[in-house]
Amino acid sequence: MATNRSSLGYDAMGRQLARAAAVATSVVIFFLASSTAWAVPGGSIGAVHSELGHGNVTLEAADVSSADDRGVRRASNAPAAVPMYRWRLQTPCQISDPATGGCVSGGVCPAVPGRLIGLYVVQRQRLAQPLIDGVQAPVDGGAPAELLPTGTPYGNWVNDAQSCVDVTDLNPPPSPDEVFRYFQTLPLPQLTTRQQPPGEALVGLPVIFFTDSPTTQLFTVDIRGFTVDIAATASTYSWDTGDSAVLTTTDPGAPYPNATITHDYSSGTYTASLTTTWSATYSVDGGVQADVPGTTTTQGAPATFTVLQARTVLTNPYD
Amino acid sequence: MRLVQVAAAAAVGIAVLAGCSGGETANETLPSTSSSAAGTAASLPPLGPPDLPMPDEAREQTPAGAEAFLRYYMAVYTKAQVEMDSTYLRQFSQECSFCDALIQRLDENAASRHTYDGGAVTLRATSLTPDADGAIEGAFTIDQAALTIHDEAGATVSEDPQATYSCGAVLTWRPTEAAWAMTQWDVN
Repeated sequence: MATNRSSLGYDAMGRQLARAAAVATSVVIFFLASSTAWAVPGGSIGAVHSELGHGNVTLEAADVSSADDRGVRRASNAPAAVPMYRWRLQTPCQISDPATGGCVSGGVCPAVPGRLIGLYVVQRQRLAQPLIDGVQAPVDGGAPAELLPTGTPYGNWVNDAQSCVDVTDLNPPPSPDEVFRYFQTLPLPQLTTRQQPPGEALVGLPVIFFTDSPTTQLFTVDIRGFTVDIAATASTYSWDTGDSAVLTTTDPGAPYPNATITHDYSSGTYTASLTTTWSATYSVDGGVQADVPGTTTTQGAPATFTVLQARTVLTNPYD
Repeated sequence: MRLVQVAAAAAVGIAVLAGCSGGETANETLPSTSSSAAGTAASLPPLGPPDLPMPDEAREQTPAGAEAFLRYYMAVYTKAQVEMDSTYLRQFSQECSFCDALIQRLDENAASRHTYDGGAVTLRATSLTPDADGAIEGAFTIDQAALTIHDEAGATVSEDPQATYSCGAVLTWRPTEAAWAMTQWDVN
């Protein structure tokens, strides 16, 4: 094959070299979520390639080992002396459900304290090998279409395997599941149950429930060096009325005269309480917001009150 | 090779007709092509735009056929840009996310009554190998001419310079059509 190395000094080559250099670093690619976000709607192959995206985060690695005796592979940024491949890892959900995000990760990987091990689809791409007598040795039976600088990726991405991979060394940005685990430990507000009328209530006069505690809360947490903003919102309220009824609402209620949550009691003493379900969104290092994949609950301080039977008593106004 | 097959089939046909010449009335119409002749150029239904049909050499399940298909695919892509019509580009793409992105971009611009000026794509070099499943995968490089997109009024919407791209591809053989389809296109 005729080769003109100087003719390879095109733009794509520059990008390839930059990428090869970046292989030693874990790279997070935040893609634009939709075509409407394209700032300049270029139509060339390069423009579409650079703007293409699915809202995914792809991990890149310089090397991925073979599986150990637990079936776990280890990804690292330390390349082999003469690497044959570059690697990227995507979760099965990123591949099967790139747009909507409703996918639930399957598979169970070994849990090792201090290590990040997850199920990934591992893909590899060949890297151009050193020239020997002007010939570029093929990798997996195929050489580049034209001579390339050593270490330049070429050809198609190939699915290597789906397996558990220890990605701790890549220091990936927090995964949704990891953020969720943090979310569950946050000191979310415990919403206090308020009722009206205060103190004693009357049979036949509905008791009004509401909470005036804050129903949104912002947290900024540090997860392995990443700044993660978590915006928690009370999404549902379960009011245990204390007489075996549970009222579930999506609003926090309001005091009289704007009451939306009421309950009728017979006479007696009751303890009512509120369980709040919190959902959240998060962003990593100021990036794109995403939903935290799960909810957590808090239980507020209960309120105890007595409901009295009112009796009509005729009195002499002149007494 | 197909020319040889066609010539042989014609010779057999002549021989059969000659054998019928004594006593019986010959059919006035030629027999239809039998299914056993599938694979010959004459029996393959045409694919692609009428004025740019897929050439026979692109319909061989060989690395050379795959290379011919890639060259043809880029010609179809170029034509799609000229006509702002992704129909045939879509026909030869199958679950190919990057192809879909290119098609989507073309369709969006077509819907906005934009036009493409330039952007012709030509195949420059290939290094393709068959895989165990009968598909073809490997590397190729392409040149794309400078591309300017104009809006309906003729104003420039975007400009992309001429560029060469190092790419990877997976081509899958569709036996019912005797044709390749682009199922993966990676731009490196």
